[in-house]
Amino acid sequence: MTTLLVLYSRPEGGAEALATLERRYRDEHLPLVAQTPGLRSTRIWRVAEALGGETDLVLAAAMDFDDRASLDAGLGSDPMRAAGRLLREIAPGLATFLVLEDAPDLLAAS
Amino acid sequence: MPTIRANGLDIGYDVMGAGPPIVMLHGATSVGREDFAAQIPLFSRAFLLHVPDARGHGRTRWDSAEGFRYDWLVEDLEGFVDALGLRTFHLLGFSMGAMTALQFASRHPDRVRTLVVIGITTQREPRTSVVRALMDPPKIEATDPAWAAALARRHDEGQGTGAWQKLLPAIAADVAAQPLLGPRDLHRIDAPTMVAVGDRDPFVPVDHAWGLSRQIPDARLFVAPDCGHEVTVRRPGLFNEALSGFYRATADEAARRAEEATRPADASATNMKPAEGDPR
Repeated sequence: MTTLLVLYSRPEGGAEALATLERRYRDEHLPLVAQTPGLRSTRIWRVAEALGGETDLVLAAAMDFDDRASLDAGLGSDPMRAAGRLLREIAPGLATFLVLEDAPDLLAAS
Repeated sequence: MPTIRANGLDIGYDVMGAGPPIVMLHGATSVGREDFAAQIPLFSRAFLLHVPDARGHGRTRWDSAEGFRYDWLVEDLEGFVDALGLRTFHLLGFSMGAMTALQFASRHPDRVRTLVVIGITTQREPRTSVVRALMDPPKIEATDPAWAAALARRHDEGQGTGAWQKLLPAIAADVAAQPLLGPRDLHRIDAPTMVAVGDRDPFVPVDHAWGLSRQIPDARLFVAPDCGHEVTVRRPGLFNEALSGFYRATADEAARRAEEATRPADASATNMKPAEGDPR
């Protein structure tokens, strides 16, 4: 499994800006993401707290694909490209994208 | 996906959502589900979207060797909305679809609750020259295989393999020859209107869009910054915000126009109540 993890920083403009980001993320961005071919599942979290420290992260989203090839095909698809263009406008400079690969060898070592 | 018989065609269309109707007309060589991909999720929450394929495009079969004329597109729209029983509706068009929408609104101003036109000019140039340069199938196949593949994916199934190679020159020939709307035509459009354009649109200089917005009595102008022709696709976030604001600001007037259209001809003079039934 290959997972695309997206971390969202807090937008400038306080609670109202965050509410707007969440609304547009839900109403406009996620319906496009949902059309992505090869997407197995999507999970979304609000960041509740950074234990022992501070964070400006407010949301996280994980999108699962079968493998890296499926992820790359999904990223190149029309719906995901549309979702990306939209995201650049509703969350400009706020998103960090990480590609995660399962590491069963590390898990086994624990 | 449904089709409906109108003006001698089987018009393929998508229908989504619930609420007051919007008819969304795509641009030349494209299809509505692509041009409006970023609008459909949001606006289907509050509106009933009808997104037809123009003749020769997508699933509305038409052999463009028989010709291609935008006044036929206007007649197709008239047939489409009549067949669906839409007396009044919100009308939105991009590029070729915007030209169709302008012409329809000029012919039938009372049927349009609001009008949105994106990426269109009523002047011949530079639109004609840019279209002629772009709509060149051998050049597209040689220099832009991704676009060639997209054209085949959109149109081959409904129109036959390679049909887009006849469609594009037919569109270019029509753009060069089509009658242009003048100030008198535009002045008839009395619905609340939004004219949208990208600030770097090669087909439509911003001053053309500004001029268009000044000739339609109740029009406002939205200029998308750092944006070419495809405003709905390239600036979806800004455009969605502008369009949401436009529909909110004009909701009362749109509802009044919908109700007015259902009123018997003599009702306004005698202050009768409108006919029963939801005008939407």
